[in-house]
Amino acid sequence: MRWTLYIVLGYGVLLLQTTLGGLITFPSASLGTIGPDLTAILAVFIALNARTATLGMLAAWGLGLGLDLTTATAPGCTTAIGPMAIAYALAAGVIFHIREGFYFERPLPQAFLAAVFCLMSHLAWVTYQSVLARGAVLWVWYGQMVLQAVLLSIYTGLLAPIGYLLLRKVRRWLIPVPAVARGRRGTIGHR
Amino acid sequence: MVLAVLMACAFLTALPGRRVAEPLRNVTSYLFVPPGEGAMYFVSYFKGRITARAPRPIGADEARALEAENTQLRQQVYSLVEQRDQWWRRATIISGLRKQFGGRFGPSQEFPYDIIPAWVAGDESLPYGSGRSLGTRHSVASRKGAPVTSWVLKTDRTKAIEPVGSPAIAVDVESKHRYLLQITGSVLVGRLTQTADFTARMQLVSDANFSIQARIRRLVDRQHPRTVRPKGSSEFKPLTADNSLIDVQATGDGKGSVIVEGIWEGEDVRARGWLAPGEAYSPELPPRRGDQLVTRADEMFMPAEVLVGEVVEVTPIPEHGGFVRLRVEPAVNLAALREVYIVVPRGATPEAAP
Repeated sequence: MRWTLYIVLGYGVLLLQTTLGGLITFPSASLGTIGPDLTAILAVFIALNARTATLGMLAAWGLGLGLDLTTATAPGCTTAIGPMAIAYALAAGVIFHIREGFYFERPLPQAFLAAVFCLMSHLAWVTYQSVLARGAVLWVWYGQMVLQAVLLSIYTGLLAPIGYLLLRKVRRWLIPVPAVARGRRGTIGHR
Repeated sequence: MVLAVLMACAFLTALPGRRVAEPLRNVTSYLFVPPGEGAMYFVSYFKGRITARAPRPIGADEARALEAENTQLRQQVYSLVEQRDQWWRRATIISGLRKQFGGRFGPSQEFPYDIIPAWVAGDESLPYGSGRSLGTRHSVASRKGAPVTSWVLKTDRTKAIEPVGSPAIAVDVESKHRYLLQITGSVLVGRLTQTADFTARMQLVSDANFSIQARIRRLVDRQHPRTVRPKGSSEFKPLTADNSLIDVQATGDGKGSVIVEGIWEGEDVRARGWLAPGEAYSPELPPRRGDQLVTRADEMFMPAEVLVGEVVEVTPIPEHGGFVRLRVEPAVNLAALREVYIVVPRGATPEAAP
């Protein structure tokens, strides 16, 4: 994997998410704010194409850390740095190990895997932040955040095929050495 | 091995929470604030356009009445400008005397606070909280907790008058006195939760963690007077400017509004679009403003009465009979925030950025 390109891409996606991401984020008086996690799409793309699980997890760790650094508020307290990095890395590990079971060059599996990735990482993050707040978070707030995480996952899943399509154009430069084992059902490597 | 070390590092930084998070975020904010400025300009412009409330159309008669009122107000403004010039002359004399006597005499400064302009340079990555990254040309380090305000155009009837089809009015307004018809006011939009030298993080008033001691200012409407019965009193009193304020605790709801809990229903707080007793709803009715949530003038961080928002919903609390919950809509469109002003004690404004 070419780490320089990874850093540029990761920075670009994070910048996009903290600025222009506001255009595709929708506030709702009953559900709270619903927006996509664009960083997750990049993390899932790398996990699906990485040569080894460790590489995929390392890349996801970095992206999760970026999210931690650019998210300061959540109900109950100021957020900590590290939980999303850990959650992303572990979720990327799971995606890496289940990828062979999917035709992940097709839109539907991409959407499903991105939604699963988001659900795992965001539920873990929301739970950790609620525990960290030590009593300041009411169960109602926790339930609200879980609902937001579910909706965010669905939203991200819907956008994932578009993101995958765009990222496929830079796959050759981002991951020059394809995966060691070919997917049983999907095609891993360059077309 | 590398992954294990990184995971351990993440685990160690996650445990102490905000103590480690704030310095790390302050450092990385320099990576995101400068390049985010242009993009946020586009976002705030676009969001402002798509979420703007459409102005109420006005008829030709109402436009003429407004024009007459404006003429009258114009005369008053000229008179006030003359008075202001007189006061300025006196203030200059007093200021000279104070300098001469070394500031030993004379009144203290009424509002000893400075306003630091800042701009919104980024949003939160994740949608669970309501915060914004700010960029500023002055150092705001150690100004944590400082209130942040924005401005709102309270009235700009020129835009509403234009389409009426009365060229004489439109031309007169456009060419000469347009500026007289625009009145702006300050609005509280949040407070600083993290500060660095030239960047900061602002928590919006609608964030679930935001809480403030504030007041409800009930609007006195002479055409529809109301009587109020304070808690513990059996006597109804007419609402006047003297008894229009109610001390409250306001908190953000995390969904774009501010909530005020536990208001005694006898206080008769009105929401936007209220109806007078016995009045039926009709689309012909002019839109009526709800009561306002304002900051307290005796607040330490910002001793001034600044607007926060307008009451848009009053709902009874079933478990606490006789009490109501207020939902307050912020006075500015928080999704389209662009320019903001940080309020800090005077004399604490360090040097500007080179």
